Amino acid sequence: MDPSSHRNPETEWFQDSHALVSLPLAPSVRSKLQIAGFRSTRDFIRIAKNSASVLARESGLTLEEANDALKAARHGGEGAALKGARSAAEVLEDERRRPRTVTCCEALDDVLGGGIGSGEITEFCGCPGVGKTQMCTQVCVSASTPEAFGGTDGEAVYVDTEGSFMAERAMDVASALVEHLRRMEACESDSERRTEMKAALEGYTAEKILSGIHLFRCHEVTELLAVLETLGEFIAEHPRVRLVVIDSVAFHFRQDFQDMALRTTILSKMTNRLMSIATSRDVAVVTVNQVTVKPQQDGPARLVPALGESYAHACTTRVILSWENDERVAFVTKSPRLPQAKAKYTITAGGIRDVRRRRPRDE
Amino acid sequence: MRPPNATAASATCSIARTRCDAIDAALRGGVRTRQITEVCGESGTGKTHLCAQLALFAQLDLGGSTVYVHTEGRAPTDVMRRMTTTRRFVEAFGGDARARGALERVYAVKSLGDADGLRETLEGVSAVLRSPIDVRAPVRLIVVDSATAPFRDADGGGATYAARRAGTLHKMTMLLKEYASVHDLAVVVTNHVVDVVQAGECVGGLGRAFMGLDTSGRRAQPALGLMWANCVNTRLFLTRHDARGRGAVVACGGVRRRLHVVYAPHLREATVDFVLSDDGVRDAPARDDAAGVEPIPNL
Repeated sequence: MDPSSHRNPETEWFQDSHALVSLPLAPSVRSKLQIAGFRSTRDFIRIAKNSASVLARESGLTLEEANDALKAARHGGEGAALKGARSAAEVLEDERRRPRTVTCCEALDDVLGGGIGSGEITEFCGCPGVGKTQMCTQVCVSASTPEAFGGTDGEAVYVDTEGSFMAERAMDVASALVEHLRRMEACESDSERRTEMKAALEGYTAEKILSGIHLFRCHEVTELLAVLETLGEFIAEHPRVRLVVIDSVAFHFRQDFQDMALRTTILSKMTNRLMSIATSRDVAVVTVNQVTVKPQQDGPARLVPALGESYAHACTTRVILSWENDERVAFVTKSPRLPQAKAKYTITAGGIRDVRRRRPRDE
Repeated sequence: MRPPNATAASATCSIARTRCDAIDAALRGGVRTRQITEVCGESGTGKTHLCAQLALFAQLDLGGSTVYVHTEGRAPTDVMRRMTTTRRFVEAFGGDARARGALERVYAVKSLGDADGLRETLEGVSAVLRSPIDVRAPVRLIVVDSATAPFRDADGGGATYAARRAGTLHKMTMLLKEYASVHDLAVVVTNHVVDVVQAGECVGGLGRAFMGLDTSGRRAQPALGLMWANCVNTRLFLTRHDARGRGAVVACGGVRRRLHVVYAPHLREATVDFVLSDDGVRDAPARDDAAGVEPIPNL
């Protein structure tokens, strides 16, 4: 039979009756209902006639509790928790379709699964001078790569809490990227793709890349929170934004708080906010964290990311940047889809690049 | 409320040249505004000379005055006065009187002994920033020489002291960074060094920036630790290398002085030589014994 033909929307909710025990109710409320003889959501309409006051009188609940119980009975039957759910196959398809922002170091992009993903938070942590700000500058510039070159063709938001963002450095990196894409275009053999690339590079200059990086300078934690609060709105006004960088989260949070419990609360609020921006606007979020020295019971002290254990859950992917035998190494320590892996990278005049094996004649 | 925002294309900073060509080349022109530049090195490497020189020359490049906060001994007024009488400065400022006048636009501030005293002093500086003493010359450079001394309390020690110190350092940094970006001024801070006791036993992964550098025949690293290292944007390290045989140290010829760019968001690592004389920090003359130059200490 066709169930939709004779359904009354008013009574629709109880047609598939659910057992009382399956409803999300407080134990005290549930036991009162059970004592009063309610067994399923159907009983609610039969006995209480869908009225909160009758239900309250019958079961000895307060009016408020009765109202909540009725609400739970309505939604419990419909599977409200599953609303908007998608199958894993759909999610996978979506993930594959999304372009990723490259770091311009192929080895690092590989261990990141093709670059920085959108809809998630990627954290870079490391000691001063290892290249955190360079990495941020690089991805902000890379985010502008035209679609013809497999990029996201977007703008970026750079939230600078340390005053380390240098426009002149961004200019270096942007100029190098423009030059690189020009060379790619010149080397393309497929004439159709080449025309496409040529068109994409029309008017694509370092200045244009820089005008697509929106800077917010935050001097204290309140300003940082205020910026994050309005960021969703800002991105709505600038729909081309594909990437948000916070450089760094640690600077203010490490010292501004005397009360550690308060810090944890605000920090988790902030990460929730970032996560919701990442998912609802489908942008990539990159955060920067500092490292701190942790003494070990056995053996020498170790470098660990700052801001503690609970913050470690905040990011989707965590990349630790460090030094190994005079070379810079990125170590993916946490990722929902990739194995732990290492990649060497270097910082050149033009930004983040692969470590080139030295050719014999250079030596 | 809409937070202030700009695009990277419009975010520019000004540059104060040191007018020592080798150093300016390593710094891509000079010291940037909107940043904290740290100059560290053992005593006698030329930190104060470099600061004094910047305090004067910055007036020409940035068109303002300088606040010089000194925390140890006397302000280097003698050094500055001597500098302003030299040909180099007279020529740069365009006349005797103008060079002397530059001294009047360096406001020397003495800070009380401890860390809280320094913080209070820096908080007090905001009044001068908002309403400059000379309206034609707003403050464009703040020098803190040194940041280390107030934090080297002999009675300090232990974890609580370290935590409190980190907090005060952070507050000081925030204040300086806010001044730097709101008033578009340069901040130069000097720092002492500490000996690296167990080289090679340092925490893995920190890299060569924290291995320390050779100076006066031993290995040293900047004082105030990792927390402070996170606070500065640009770190410069001055080292000195005495010629073998103390007797050979004549004027400046016997000491090799070097400036190392340890890290900076806009600079590559670099090492350059310089000399110190009455007219300040300048390029090392082309050496006759160039063939016999010792290998550059690592970095």
